[in-house]
Amino acid sequence: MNNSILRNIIRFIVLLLVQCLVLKGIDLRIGEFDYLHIIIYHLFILLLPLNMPRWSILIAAFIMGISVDMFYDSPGLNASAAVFTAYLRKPVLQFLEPQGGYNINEIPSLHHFDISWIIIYTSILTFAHLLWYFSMQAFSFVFFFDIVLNTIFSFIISIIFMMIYQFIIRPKY
Amino acid sequence: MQNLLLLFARVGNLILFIVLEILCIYLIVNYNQEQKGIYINSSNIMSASMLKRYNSFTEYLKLGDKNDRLAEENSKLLEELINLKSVIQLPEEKVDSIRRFRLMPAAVINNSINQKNNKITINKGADQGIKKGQGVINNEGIVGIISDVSSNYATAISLLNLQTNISVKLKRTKEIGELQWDGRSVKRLTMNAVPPHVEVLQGDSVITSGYSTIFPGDLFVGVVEDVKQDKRNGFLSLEVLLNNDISRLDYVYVIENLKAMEQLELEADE
Repeated sequence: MNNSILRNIIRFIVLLLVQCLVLKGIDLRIGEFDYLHIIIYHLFILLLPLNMPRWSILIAAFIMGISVDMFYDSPGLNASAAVFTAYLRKPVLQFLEPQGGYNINEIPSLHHFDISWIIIYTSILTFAHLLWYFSMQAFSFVFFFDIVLNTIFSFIISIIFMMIYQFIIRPKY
Repeated sequence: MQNLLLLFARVGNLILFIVLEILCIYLIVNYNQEQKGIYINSSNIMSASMLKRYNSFTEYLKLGDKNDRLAEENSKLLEELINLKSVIQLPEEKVDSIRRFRLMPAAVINNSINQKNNKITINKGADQGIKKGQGVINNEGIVGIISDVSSNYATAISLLNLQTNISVKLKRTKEIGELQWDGRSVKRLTMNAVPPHVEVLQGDSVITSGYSTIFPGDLFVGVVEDVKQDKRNGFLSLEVLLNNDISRLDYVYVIENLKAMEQLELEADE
C-alpha cells in the first residue's frame, strides 16, 4: 500500500516536470497552424489505483491541475480540466468493465490490461480532458471552430506521447 | 438526519466536483479580468526558482549562438556611442540633465508563445529597481510591459497578449495608431485606428510614438505587410511584421523612464 502511494507521488512529480519543463517548451506551430499542444499530465489521474475512493481522486486531480497552472500562468484552467477528467473516470471505468470485473488492487495500466483496452480508456478520457480544457481556455474570446481543431489535433499527438510513456515505463503500481 | 447522511453518501462526490469546478472558474474569471494571478503565476518564488535552475542547465547548449549575438550587439552599441560622442560634445555636468532613460539588462527565464495571454518572466525584480508598468525591449525591437513584480523576479505581458495595446506611429507619414495582437501568429501584430485618408505602402516602417511614458520614441517595431480597411468604422488596420522574434528571447532590457513622474503629474493636472 505504501509502495503504491510512493509510486503515485513519484509519478506526479515526473509527469509535472515533463509537462511543464519539457513539453511546454516544444513549439509545434507551423505558420498559421497552431493547433498542436502536447498535454499528458492527466495520465497521472488515469493511472491512480482502482481502489482509490472517488473523492480523493478529485482532490489529487485538483492539486495536479493547479500545479501545472503555476507553470502555465493560467490559474484554474488546467485544474478545471483535471477535476472534470477525474470525475469522469468512474463512469468510463464502469462502461469499459471487463467480464470478470476488475481486480481492485491494480491500476489501469498496460501492465495489467491489454493494449486495445488501454487505448480506448486513454482516448475517451483524453478527449474529454482536452475538450474541456480548450473550451475553458476559449471562455472569453475564441470560437467553436478553434476549440474543435485544437482538441482533435492535440488529441492525436497527446495520445501518441501517452502510449510511449506506457510502453517505456509499463507502470505496475 | 439519517436521510441527510445517506443523501451525502450518494451525491457527495458530485458536490465535491461542483465545488472544485466553481473554485476553478472563479480563479479563471478573476485572472482574466485583472491580472491578479500573482499568487499562482510564475513570479511565484517556488516555480520561478525551479525554472531558473532548469534554465541554467539548458543555457549551456545555446552559449555559442548567444555569444555571437551579444558580441554583435556590443559592437553595434560601441559604434553608435563613438558616433554620438563625436557629434554631441557636452560638458560632463550637463549630461545628467538630458538623460531620460535608463536601461537594465535582465535574462528571460520563462517565455510562453502558444497561449492567448502570453507572459515573460525575467530574473530581476523590485530589489533591482523594476517597477510595474515599465517597458521591456531587446536589441531588435519591443518585447512587452512589466505586469507583476516580486522581490527578485518580474513577469511582463508579452507583445503576444490579447491585452497588448501600444502606441506606435508610421515613420514616413507620422500617423499614430494602436498596436494589438489578434492571437494568431507569433510574427504579426495589427496596427489599428489609422485614419483612412493616410496613404500606407507595404514596407513602411512602424516605430514607437514616444507619447506614453513606457517606451521612448523612434524604436523600430516592424514593417507594414498588409493594409486592410475595418468595415465597422472605416479606419485602416495594418498588419505589421515584427522585427524581433518573441519566441527566441534570451536577454532583454527593462526601460526606466527617469522623467515619467514629471510627465504623468503634468498630464493628471489637465
